[in-house]
Amino acid sequence: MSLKIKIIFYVGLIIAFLMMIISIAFLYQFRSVILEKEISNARSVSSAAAIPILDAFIFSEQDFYDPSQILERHISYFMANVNGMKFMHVYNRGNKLTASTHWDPATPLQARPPEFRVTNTVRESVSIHRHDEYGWVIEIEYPLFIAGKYLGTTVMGFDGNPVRKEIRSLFIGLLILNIVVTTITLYVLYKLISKLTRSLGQLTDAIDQFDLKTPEKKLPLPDSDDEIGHLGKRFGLLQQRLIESKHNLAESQRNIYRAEKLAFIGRLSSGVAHEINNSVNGIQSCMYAINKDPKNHEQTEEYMKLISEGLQHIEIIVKKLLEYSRKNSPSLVNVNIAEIVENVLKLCSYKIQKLGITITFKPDTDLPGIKADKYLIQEVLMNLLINSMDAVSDGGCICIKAGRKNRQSIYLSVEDDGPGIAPEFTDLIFEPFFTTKDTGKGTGLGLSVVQGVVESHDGTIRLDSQPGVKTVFTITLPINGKHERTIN
Amino acid sequence: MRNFLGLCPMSRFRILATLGGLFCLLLLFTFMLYRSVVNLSGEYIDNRTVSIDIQNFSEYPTKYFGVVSRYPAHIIYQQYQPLMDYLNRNTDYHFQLKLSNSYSETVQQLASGEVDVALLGSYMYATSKDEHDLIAILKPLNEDSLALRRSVLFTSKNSIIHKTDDLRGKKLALASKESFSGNWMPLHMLRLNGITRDDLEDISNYPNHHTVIHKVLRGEYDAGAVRESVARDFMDRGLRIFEYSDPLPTSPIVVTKQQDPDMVAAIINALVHQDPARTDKAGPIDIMDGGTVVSYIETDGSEYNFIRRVTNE
Repeated sequence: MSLKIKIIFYVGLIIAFLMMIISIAFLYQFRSVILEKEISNARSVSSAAAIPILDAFIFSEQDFYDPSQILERHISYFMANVNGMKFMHVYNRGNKLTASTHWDPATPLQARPPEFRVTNTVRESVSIHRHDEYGWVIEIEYPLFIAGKYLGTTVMGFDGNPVRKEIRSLFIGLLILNIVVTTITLYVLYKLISKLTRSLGQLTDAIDQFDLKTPEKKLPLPDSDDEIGHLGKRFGLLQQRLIESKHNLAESQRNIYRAEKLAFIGRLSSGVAHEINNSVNGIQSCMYAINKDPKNHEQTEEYMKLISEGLQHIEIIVKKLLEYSRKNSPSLVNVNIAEIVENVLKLCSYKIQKLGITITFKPDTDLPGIKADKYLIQEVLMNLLINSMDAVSDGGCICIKAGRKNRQSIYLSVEDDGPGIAPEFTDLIFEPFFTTKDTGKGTGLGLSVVQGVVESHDGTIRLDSQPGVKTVFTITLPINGKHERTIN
Repeated sequence: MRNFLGLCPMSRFRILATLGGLFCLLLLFTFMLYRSVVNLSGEYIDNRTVSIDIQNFSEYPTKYFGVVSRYPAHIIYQQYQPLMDYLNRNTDYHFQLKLSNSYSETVQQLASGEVDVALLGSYMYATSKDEHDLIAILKPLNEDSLALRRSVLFTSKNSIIHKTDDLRGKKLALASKESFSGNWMPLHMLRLNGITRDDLEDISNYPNHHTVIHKVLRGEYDAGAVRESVARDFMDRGLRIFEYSDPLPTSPIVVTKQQDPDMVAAIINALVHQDPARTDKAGPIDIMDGGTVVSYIETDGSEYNFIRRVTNE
């Protein structure tokens, strides 16, 4: 739910609730005032009407005359002159109906209900009820007494329908006011929130569109003089800082690359020097011994053989360096990986048997052919296999797997149960002349060459090693081999 | 798909469902509120609502208390009914007011036994007691605890009359000829100042003390004479008193000599020997034309002989 909806919903709910509470309070207050006013009017009329009735009853008590006739006159007078009076009954102190606007012809003198005199207390009472004939009626029962002398009771009914109509109008008026005020408030709120969220949306769009690759592109930012405007300005500053950081980062990367390259050249030179120097030293020693005793043909023959081996070692080093650094593109042909694996296993079968290593090869049934340089892939597999054979002890196991990784590529993995590679070496393992083998057993160029070949095929190589458990080299190669790249 | 306030259909459905539910609740609440507001049924009792206990006196003998009614009946009842209520509460009799049009009629009612006890004017008592065997048993005490009152001669505030002697050649309004304080005593005061009826331009009697005051204040008469307590009520309405009489006895409560002594004793006992601790005392009673009565004192009637002397002058 958006911020706009949330704010409108909750604020609207609170405003509507508060308006409702206030309106109800007003409604009941005004209702009470209206009713009090009407009841007060009715009371005033009742007390005014009571005076002649009291006199009539007093004179009746003094035996001056029968009150009925004069009471009827009083009633007629009040009915004619008081607006809204609906009925009037006068009861004497014995609660017998003495005069009324509604004589019942069958029982001309009605007695009041017996419950009226359950106690000897009379009191003024006002009630509002719905009358069958007149609708809503305000009925006042007004006891006629002076000091402690009770003379009778008048019951007067006043039209209550206008009061009800007034209260109904008040209700409808307040309801309309409520709706109008709430609607206007919500509309104003909606407009305000829209303006607010428009600025926020503008800022969000600017953040989305910001790209360090095109930092010169001008982005529209909210420029209002409020919190969101300030936020927009801060984002502009952040943009500038990011651009500066990018430049700094690029500069740093260049420096690192330069330093790394120099370090690499140093390591490469030292590796070359070390490997070649060993052979050269050996050759020099042999030459020294031959020169010292040239007539010792047996020694000369033996040392010449050693010199030849030393020269061969130097040749191998140079050859591999050339392979590592050559810039020829691989020549891509259709290659069957399973076939390449079988060929390599045949080539290494003597060593495998000699070392007593168990090698399994499990090509997936859906392993497709790929476009690659057959000989380079063969060399890659050979290097990985030799490394694994060197790593495993007698009776060790090597497992070669190949299969389809996804629609575009295949994988080829070589897994051995050798001692594994320590974590601190995993970053160095592909560097030229880095080796964990004993001196003289490896040149330290195998994995560098492997990495170069794989990358020239637009593939990847990954090392997963758990020291003491296993080591897995996994190569992925594109099926179509279309990303042809020179070996760098 | 976002097309309603930028909301996805699920959020839109939830919001519309919530709003719909709230709207339905609001509609129901409004309807119930309307029903409650326009339903006026009920009983409305407020602080002004009064109630009284109706006493049942059927077991007590009814005695009639005579008073003169020169005003609407309910006003007379407002003045004297509290006294009846007090007697009803404090005696074994049921007292009811009996109205008459004049003191003479009340005397006749006493004589005929139509009324058992009456509040008579002091003049009427003094002049009728021998003829009808009347005896005064109680006289009211005023706010100063005195059974006395005075007559006054008054005029309007701007009048040139400042003493009784100034009345010569002027028009004088008096109260009823049955009123000692409103008629006989003022005439006595004039005589004491050497003024006779012939010295005045006009002299007339009116049934009520209030009527006398109104006549003077309206300028129909130059001066008037009424009871002091009545005149004092009009002091702030342009009335000025210029002469006071000597103190006069207050109007007595009277019975006939043949009256039941037990009833007489009960009345005296109730009105004179009031328990100071009681809250429902017999006074004060604001008696029209008679001032405020706060309590009563027994009398043998001898002080009213003065009235007889004056009226015989």
